[in-house]
Amino acid sequence: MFPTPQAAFQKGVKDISPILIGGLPFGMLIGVIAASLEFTPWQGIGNSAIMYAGSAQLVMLELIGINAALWVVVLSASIVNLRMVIYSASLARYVRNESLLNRIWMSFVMVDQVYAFVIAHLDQHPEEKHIRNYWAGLSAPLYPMWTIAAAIGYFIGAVIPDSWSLTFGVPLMFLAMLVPALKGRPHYAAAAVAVTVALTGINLPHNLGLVTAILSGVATGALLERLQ
Amino acid sequence: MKIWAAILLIAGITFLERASFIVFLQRFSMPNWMERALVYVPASAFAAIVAPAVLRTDGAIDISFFNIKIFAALVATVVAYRGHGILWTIVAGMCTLWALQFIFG
Repeated sequence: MFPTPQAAFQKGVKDISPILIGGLPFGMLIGVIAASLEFTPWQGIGNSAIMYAGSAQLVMLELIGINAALWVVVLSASIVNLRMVIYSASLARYVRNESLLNRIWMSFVMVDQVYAFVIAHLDQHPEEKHIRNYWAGLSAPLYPMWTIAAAIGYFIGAVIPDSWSLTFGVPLMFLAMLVPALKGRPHYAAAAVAVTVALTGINLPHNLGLVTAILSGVATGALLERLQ
Repeated sequence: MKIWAAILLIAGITFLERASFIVFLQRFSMPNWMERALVYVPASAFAAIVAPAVLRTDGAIDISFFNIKIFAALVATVVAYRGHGILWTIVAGMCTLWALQFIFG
């Protein structure tokens, strides 16, 4: 338990600081790719500030890059962020007594890393009174870092020629996130089915292959888990 | 125009996803089957994005020695499996790609 609200905030800042440095290149990558896709500066930096969701931003960039239809871009990115609903469900009971305004900003800044720290703390201290201050301490440095990183990346990306193939950083980043996500057999099966469907459906109209592939993978994983 | 529409729509939906239970459904809990199924979203989504991005060249699937992205992705996969983290995975993949681009012009 945190002794004071100030202590909770400071602990949040301290816990997130290694991630500020580690996250910088990824925030920059988003800016770099936005620039190479000829986003305007406001679009390239604004998408980090408004969305504040790395994997959804990368999905958006990948699909805009292959010129997918708007509704497919939106649908795919939203499905990738469905995990946020699980986070939201698991934290709701701890923030029940916060004001509406507080719950709104706490939702907005609930990215993977903030969720991970908050739930880890609540696991140990379910009666924590100052969780809002801890939440704020985690977010106060992380949010500006994410936006500034995109700005730096955007201006670097604007001067790097296309021949450097920097957009290949997007699939590489997803590859790096895929490996730790493969936690067991149903996960491997889900990924294998998703790949097969994505490749089979590569010429589906509106690039719907991606959405179909994700849903098939999820269904496979859930089904296998039930059979085990 | 399309870019702004995508940014604003995704941002709005992402907020609704994050706020779902914290703001709107405070007195409810998620059905168990849904929670179990959503666990498979990351593995499925990341795999479904990676495979076509690596294998597609000029709009068609290209599984051959001429597609150097495959080799770059394989090197990156090995680095990721050895637990070197996201940054080194990207660095390894990009360096492999650049080396092969340089060699095969």
